[in-house]
Amino acid sequence: MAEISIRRCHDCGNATRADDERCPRCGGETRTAGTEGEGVVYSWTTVHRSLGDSVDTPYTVLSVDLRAGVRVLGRLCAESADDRLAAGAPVVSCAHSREDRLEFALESS
Amino acid sequence: MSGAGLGGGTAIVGVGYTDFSTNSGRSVLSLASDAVRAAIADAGLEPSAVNGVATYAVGDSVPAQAVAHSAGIGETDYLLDLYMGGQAPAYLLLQVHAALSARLADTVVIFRALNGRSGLRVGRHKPSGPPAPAVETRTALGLEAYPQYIAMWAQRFLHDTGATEEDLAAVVLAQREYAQLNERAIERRPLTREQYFESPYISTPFRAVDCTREVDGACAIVVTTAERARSLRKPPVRLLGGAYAAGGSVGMDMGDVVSWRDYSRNCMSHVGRKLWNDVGLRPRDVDVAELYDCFSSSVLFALEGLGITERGGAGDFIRSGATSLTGELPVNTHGGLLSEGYLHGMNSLAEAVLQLRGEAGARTVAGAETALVTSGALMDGSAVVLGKEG
Repeated sequence: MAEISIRRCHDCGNATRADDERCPRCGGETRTAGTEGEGVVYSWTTVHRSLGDSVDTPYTVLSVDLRAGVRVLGRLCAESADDRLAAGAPVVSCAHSREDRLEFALESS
Repeated sequence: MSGAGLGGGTAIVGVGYTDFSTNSGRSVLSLASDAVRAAIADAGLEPSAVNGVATYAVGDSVPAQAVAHSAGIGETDYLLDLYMGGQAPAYLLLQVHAALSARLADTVVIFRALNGRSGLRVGRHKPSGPPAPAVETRTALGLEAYPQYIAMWAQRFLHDTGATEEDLAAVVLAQREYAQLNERAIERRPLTREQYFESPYISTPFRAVDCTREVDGACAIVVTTAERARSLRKPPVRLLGGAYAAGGSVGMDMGDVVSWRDYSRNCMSHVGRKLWNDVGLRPRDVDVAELYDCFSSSVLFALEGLGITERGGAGDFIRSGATSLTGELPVNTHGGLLSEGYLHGMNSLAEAVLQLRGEAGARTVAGAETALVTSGALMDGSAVVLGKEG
């Protein structure tokens, strides 16, 4: 499992999105913080026809609720069998996950 | 009809369209100008009698000022360009009502014009200006356009409400029935349940037939004071009330699916809380509803979010025939944006006017006196209720 970068407010400690430069709660400055890449699938879509530049269809984009209390987007790791893909399914970040393109695998039961 | 939060002091008096097509071969400005002139003529006015122009676009259209020039409106007291998509039409009508109330203008034309199929297609052109961080993250993941964003909402909606793809199918099939009665609709072919399930996935759970049809075209309405409306050519359609709401955590842009907590409820759940109080009606009191449908799921979200059906009940409501032409509440009588074409909901507002004037041909809802129009299917959206001159 790879660590994931989120941000935390330096003033109030609130965990924020990776692209929040100011804390939406108190306005404080946020700083990059690492967090465990564990969470559950909130929702997903499998893209069969890309409208933009991506051509490697199909691929699955997940909306993941991290344990840290932040929701992030990431790809479902191509090696991860998707027959267990469902809302609430536990996922972990993959070793080859990048900061600008998170990848998650379904946790083996 | 108590309530009447806006007092019925604003009325729609003209409607105009261009043809809808997949390749207009014309400039957006000429489309806009033609629809605006058609709406003004429908009201029985000359362009010089109009003193305001308002529009909305997402970098894909022409400014209000250019249309004031091109449509011969000339001297102008009011111009408004909203940077918004499908959440705008009802909201823009409310904005124009505010402008009339403040005496900024007395007769305003609202238009939406775009070459949505042959020109700049939604999600396939990069907006100008520096990209927001949220956009860069999504692009890197291949989450690039509305079918994909809203698919994520729809997926969770199915999970939380117990709805299934059969419920998405119900929306599409019901609206194709109406489309057969609408010569303007770009997609008029009948669709069977079997054909629905043969349609290829675009972005699960959406199939091709769950997605709106992009079109080239323009649509416009003329809005004026109730007092002035009485002397014009067509029966006025009054604005009885409306609401705009942006929920609690709107995120950074329309495609932001990170900040919004509950994908199973969209802006319509928030709009609904304000709307019915403002208008003084209950959800099922309206006679016809034109519900914004960029995707099939949006109709389910609106029916439930606005309290027309209970949560999880929208699919059954549609399958019961309640939304058909002879049902309790006809919905998307033009075939919706799914069938008539994606004028970003301006055509749903125009359809409501045609319905209340009894001018919707074979799809006219008999005796309709009030119409609900919604705009938007993501974090923010709007709705208005219109009524026949009482």
